[in-house]
Amino acid sequence: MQNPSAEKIIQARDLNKSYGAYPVLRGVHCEIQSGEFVAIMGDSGSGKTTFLNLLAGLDTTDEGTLLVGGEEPARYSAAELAGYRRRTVAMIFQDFNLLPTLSALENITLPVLLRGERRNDLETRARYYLERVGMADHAEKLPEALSGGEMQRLSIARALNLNPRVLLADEPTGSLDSRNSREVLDLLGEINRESGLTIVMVTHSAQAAATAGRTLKMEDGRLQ
Amino acid sequence: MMTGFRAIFRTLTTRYYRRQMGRFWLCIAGLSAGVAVAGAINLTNSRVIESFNESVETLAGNSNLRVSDEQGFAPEQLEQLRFLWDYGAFTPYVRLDGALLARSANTEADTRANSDNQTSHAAKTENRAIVLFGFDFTGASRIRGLAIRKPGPGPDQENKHREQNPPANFANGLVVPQGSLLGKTGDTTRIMVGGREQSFLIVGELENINGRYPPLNTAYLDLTKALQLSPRNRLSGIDVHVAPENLELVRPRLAEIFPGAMIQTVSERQKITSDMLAAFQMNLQALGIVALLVSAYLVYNTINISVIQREGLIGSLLSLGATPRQIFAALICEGVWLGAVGGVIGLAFGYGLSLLASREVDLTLEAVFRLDAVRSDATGIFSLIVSFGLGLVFSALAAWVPAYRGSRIPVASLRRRGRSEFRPRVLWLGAAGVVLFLAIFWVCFALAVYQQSPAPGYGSVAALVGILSMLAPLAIYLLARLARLFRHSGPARLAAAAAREHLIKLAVAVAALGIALSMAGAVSVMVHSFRTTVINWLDTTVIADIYIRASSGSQNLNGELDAQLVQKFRAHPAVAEALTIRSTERIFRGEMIRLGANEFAIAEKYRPLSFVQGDASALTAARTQGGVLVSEVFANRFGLTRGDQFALAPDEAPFQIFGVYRSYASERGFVLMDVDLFQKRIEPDRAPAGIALYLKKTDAQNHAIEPEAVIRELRDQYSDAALDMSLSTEIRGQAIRIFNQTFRLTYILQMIAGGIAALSVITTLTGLALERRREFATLQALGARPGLLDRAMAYESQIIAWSALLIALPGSVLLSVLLIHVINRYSFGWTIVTAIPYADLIVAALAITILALGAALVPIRLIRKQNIARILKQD
Repeated sequence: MQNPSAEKIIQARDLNKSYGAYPVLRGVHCEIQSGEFVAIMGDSGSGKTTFLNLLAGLDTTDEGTLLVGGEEPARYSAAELAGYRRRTVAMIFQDFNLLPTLSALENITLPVLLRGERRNDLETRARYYLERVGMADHAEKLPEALSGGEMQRLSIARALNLNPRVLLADEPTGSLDSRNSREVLDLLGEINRESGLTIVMVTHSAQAAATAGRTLKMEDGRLQ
Repeated sequence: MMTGFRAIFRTLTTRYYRRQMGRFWLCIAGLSAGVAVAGAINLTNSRVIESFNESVETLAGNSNLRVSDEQGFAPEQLEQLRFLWDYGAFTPYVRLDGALLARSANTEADTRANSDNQTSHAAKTENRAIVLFGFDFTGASRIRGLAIRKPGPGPDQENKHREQNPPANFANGLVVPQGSLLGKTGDTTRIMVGGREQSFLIVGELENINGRYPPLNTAYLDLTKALQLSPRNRLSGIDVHVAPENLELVRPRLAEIFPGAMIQTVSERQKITSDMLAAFQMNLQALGIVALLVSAYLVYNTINISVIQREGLIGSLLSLGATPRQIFAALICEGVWLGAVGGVIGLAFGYGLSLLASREVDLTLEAVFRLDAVRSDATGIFSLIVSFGLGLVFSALAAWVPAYRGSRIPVASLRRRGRSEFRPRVLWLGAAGVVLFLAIFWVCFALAVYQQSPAPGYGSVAALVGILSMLAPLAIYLLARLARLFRHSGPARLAAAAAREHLIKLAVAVAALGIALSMAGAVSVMVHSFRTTVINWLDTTVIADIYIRASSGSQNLNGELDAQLVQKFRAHPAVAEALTIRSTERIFRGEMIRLGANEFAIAEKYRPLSFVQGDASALTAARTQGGVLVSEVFANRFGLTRGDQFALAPDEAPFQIFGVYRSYASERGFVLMDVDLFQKRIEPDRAPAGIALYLKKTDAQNHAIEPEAVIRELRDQYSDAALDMSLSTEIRGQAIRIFNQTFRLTYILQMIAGGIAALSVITTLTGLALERRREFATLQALGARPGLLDRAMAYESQIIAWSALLIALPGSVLLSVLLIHVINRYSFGWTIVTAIPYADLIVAALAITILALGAALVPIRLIRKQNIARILKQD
């Protein structure tokens, strides 16, 4: 549900993106307000991950305008894009992408350190987010000792600890069974409601999309 | 079956490398460098051996026995050899060492052409060591098939003809090998020989001796002329050719005629050659193995990474019906294929490298052995082929582990992303390996000490290499733990995490690098220790101010000084004391040894000996009690120590050993005694071969005596006598120059091995960066600063480098201890005091650190340029 008075944190106008001769996004247009939980649903190859990558500053548009938090990542150099990713977005992935030899706590603190941030409360904050996702008892465990759902919750804690303006989730339940999927989706909904964090989730699952406040359908590179 | 295999190989290998050309060429570059270095080393070795064999065998013609004596033979003794004509033939020779002073062109045109650069040319050739041989050209044709080119009847110099008879004016002329540095037919050359300067006209050019090229630093003159130049007018040796079945018949008769002379067959001469070269070859072969080892690691790394990258493809092939055996065979073939391509390129580079190194080899041969390098084009082709073959075998072996792992990939669990290789059992297995190799090490070590043989010592070296490689996982683990202590450094923690995650792959890289560095370091320690020991020994023993010896046909002390000359030197007003040196050779327990003597009463004052057992008081004890001192080589070779007694022959009275002293002058044993005992028991009439002069500090007017001024005066005064005079500083300088020249090639090859090691760090880090591209992409997506990721990769390079150094620093010292105190000692009989070149090792460690940092630039660039979105989407 959109709030007309809320800030438009994401504004996309006539976005086009092709890989070679193959068009992936065709005139994508959308607006997402701050604090919204939006699901982008579509089949494989529909362009939803490409759109998410544009939002994440991992790829650039061919045509059109994309504003995220007032910034236009398409205008940025590679170094500036890295800065944009630090300031504005954080991501969670289908395969979690955790570092296997680091403990849960270290997996959360390392990206902060690699952003060049020096915080005295680094560990306190990490523990806070671990507790926030219900993983306080697993702080010293290695990822291989965790279940799929726990690993995804850990990756959510890792993203939250980066204090993003927008949380981007790429098929967060794609590798999980239904019970764990439910838990992760509930957690994302809870975070959105409680902290007002804007979440954009890409999924091909209608059940997952139903958790979001708004669902956009991507079909053949167009948002409907 | 074959078609199926071919399809698998094409799918798995050919198409993969077509898309991964960078990886392919990186591997090929490393492999070819390894084969090139190993090939060049083998080529150098064979070049040295052939140089020896050529000089020994070529000049000996087709003789199968050589009779030689350092005292030489009187020409009249040849009369006693008439019986040999019934069995074959013989031909005497005289060998004289000389130095080329200058040469002049023979024609006006040549003179004009050379006039501009005559000075520089003379400077180039001046004092080049040459060896003159006096041959009986007319009578030697049955043994030495000499093919001489000499001027024909026409005025044109090109109009030459070939024959075996000597030129008409040969009696006073010189025949030189074709292309000789002495000049060509018609040139005049000035040579210092027998302590005198001589001018020779070159009257012919020697094309070959029995079809073999003669060494370039040799020249040939008539036997009669050579005898005149020889200080004592004696023949150096006699080459004999008899039918093989008559060898054992002739040999005892020769021994009767020439008691005390050396009578050697071809195989005995070759054994002496190989003994002389053992140290040189051991040094080079160790480096060759290092180079091949590092190359093998490159193959391992390439196939290992490529297997990881092709897990999906391998899984698909397995699920489509390919058998694990076919996958294994295809990956082994891949290793051999890489080895073959790298080997072919390496052969070309190896040949080029050996040409570059040839100057160093030639200088070493000339400086150390007074030999000239061989000129056969076919030299070493076989050595290169051996290196190529070894490269193939190493490649196949290196491919074994990754091929096995690749063929065992479980189809059902292809997406095994993010699995750590770290398991505590890896460390435990490493520890078990250390214990196993330690046991082997001690068994081999004990055998080497018990048998006093270097062969089991090589087993100890191999076991130590095994121990070092088993320590690699522990070294990485410790450094990773250390890096984790930097809690607020993201790059350090990422590097530590990566080290644990890829522990096994890194352990292989670190083991290869650590062993390569250990071997290179050990050779450095050994060379440094040897050098330090020799310098100390020279400082302790070469302490007289001036050394004078009879100039002769050999570098050894075989000439004799005139008794009146000795008296004159003793009576010189600047001389405080003079120590004469007498020596002769004997066969003892089947080996040639040297017996020497000087005035112990004088030696007691100056103590020109460095003792291994006993001290300077042994000189007094030996003098007063009729005993001897023996060199360390003698003591070790015959298992004798201070206090033991030995008899030179069963019917002779024994000598008691009062002390054992160091000597690095010869690998032959030396027995030193007081001159009175020598004259009483060994040779009463032997005149001194040399004399060491100890100068007074000041003269009668209290003016300081300068050794340089005294030697100048003596050289002027005795310019007509065949004497070699040297200051102690000159002798020490010359010895160190020869030493440095011998090991210069080692340093060059070590640098090349270092380059290959750097290449291995590059491939390891690049391989890991490729494997971890998703991890880096994730961190980049999460906002990691590019600079911090670069730093993480740099830290990883340091973990590899420092883990290798953690192994290599103690490894170098331990290996060098084995090389010095076991292999060297039991091979040559002398001990070397271990001296660790701390500064060199620190510089080498810094160089490795910097090289590793440089090596990190390649994967850093790779990570910076990677397409994050595509990588996150692909996997």
